[in-house]
Amino acid sequence: MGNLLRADFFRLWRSKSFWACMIFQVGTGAFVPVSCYLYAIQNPFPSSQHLDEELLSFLPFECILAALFCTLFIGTDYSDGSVRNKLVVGHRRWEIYLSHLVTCTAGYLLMCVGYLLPYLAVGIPLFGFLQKDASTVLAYLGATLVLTVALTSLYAMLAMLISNRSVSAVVALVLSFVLLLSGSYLYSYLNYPPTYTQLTYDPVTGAMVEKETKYPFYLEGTKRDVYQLLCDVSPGGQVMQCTAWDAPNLPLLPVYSAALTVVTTGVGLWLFRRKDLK
Amino acid sequence: MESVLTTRGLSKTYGSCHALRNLSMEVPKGAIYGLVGRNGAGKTTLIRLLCGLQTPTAGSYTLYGVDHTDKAIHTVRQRMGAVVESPAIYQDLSAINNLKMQAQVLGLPSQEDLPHLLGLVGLEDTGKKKVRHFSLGMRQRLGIAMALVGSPDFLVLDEPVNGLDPQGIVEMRELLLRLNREKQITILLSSHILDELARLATHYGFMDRGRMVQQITASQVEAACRKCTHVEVSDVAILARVLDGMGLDYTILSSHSADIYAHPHVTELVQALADAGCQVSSMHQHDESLESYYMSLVGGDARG
Repeated sequence: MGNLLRADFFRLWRSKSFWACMIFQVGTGAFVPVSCYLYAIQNPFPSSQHLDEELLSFLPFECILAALFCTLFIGTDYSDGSVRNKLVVGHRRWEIYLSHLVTCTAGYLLMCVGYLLPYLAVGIPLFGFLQKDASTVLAYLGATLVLTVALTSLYAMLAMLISNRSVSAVVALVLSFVLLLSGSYLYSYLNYPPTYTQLTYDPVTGAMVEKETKYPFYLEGTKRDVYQLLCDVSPGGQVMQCTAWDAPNLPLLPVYSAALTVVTTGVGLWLFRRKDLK
Repeated sequence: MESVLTTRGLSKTYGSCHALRNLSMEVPKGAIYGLVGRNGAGKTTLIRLLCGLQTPTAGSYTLYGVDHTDKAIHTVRQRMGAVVESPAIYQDLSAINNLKMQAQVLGLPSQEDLPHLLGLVGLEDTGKKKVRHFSLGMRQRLGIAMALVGSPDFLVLDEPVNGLDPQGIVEMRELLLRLNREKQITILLSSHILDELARLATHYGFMDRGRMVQQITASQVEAACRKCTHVEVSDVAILARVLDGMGLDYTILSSHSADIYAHPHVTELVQALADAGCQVSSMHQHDESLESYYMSLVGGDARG
């Protein structure tokens, strides 16, 4: 498998889709703190911007970029037919699959670093150091890292099983949007307040009366537990929680991501071994 | 004779479609084995199975005596090179980078031989030009070069002259013959251009509807094909009378041409025709083609 990895990294280094994603990430990483700084100058509220807020805001974009990158990188092996060269000379299918997965994961992680380094390099002089304590930052970064691997394994599975590069790219993009939208939906439901202040007009006194009222969409009991579980398990829900630094079950997120990685890789390997290639 | 490839009752089914049915064949070491069959005969399916791209529904095959279900088959495959349908090459890389990729896939310690390989297929001057800008013929030749990385001793080529211009076809033929004769590479190739195949192959496998109809050597085909002399004359009726008089077997093709299935004494024949008032405008000898042999074997409805 070492030979395949060397060959795949050789191609990664020459991959246009990889460098296009990298340039986007580096550009975004440098632009976001400057943009936040300019906003903070124009809107000088006491609790305005600080460096932590946008540190993980790249995750939703990453989710979409990973879909594009994985399917284009792996799909090229199908569209150019070069996966045949690997099989003809005796490489096993699981080696080809895992080599692609490892290369895509490495590429994806490099893209994450491609955002974080410019973000910190530009952001620290503007906002100072991170306000959150190091253990929290590391815990969220760790969860993000495992989530990254899980997303890559999901998209890699699609790319390895759908031979048509265009179709796999469209399917992966649609999936990434579905993941983000469903995650956003779950997260927003979980964040509804239990009560809200209702202002009512008292016709007797003629004054406005404030009254704490139960919020109709607030989730309680088993329903809340189920929504929280779905939000924790789904990559889209994890993206939303990590982006907002608001994951009540943070230690469990890497466990769910690792489980997703194992399941998708297992299913992908099983199906790829049985796939008829042309 | 030692065999590079042996198949036993190989079958492949896609749903209800039987692409290969109980196919048995043998490719001897050192041969140029031509697979002949119409579209849908199962040639490409057979090649896909042999290359490990698909698994047989039934039956088995061995490469260098190793069964395809044996774990050692992966090691044996390193002795193989193949071009299946279109050449498998990265469009965004240059020719030399494609070869470097393949060398890395094979884990070759040295890449010094790669420029020589490009020279061998006539692509030494392509420099950094990306493959997407190559002509079809150049891609085909690069595909062969890719298959040759790692110095295989069994080459599987599916329609290798597809898209090549006449000069490219000649060059490809010379290259394959050179590889076979100088490097003793066994070649299994399929082609629709039977005349071209006839100039290369030492063995043939005729396929029809997923079955192997006949395996035969080139010399056996040659012996089976009747020699004939094609003549063009001013009056075919006089020709027929003269040939009948000489007791020669013939077929009238048109009012001015005929095929004579024998070696007539040319001077005698021309003199006899001249005496009878018939002028001979041309006369040349040719073999019954491989195509005719194939048509007679599988029936006249062959489509290519």
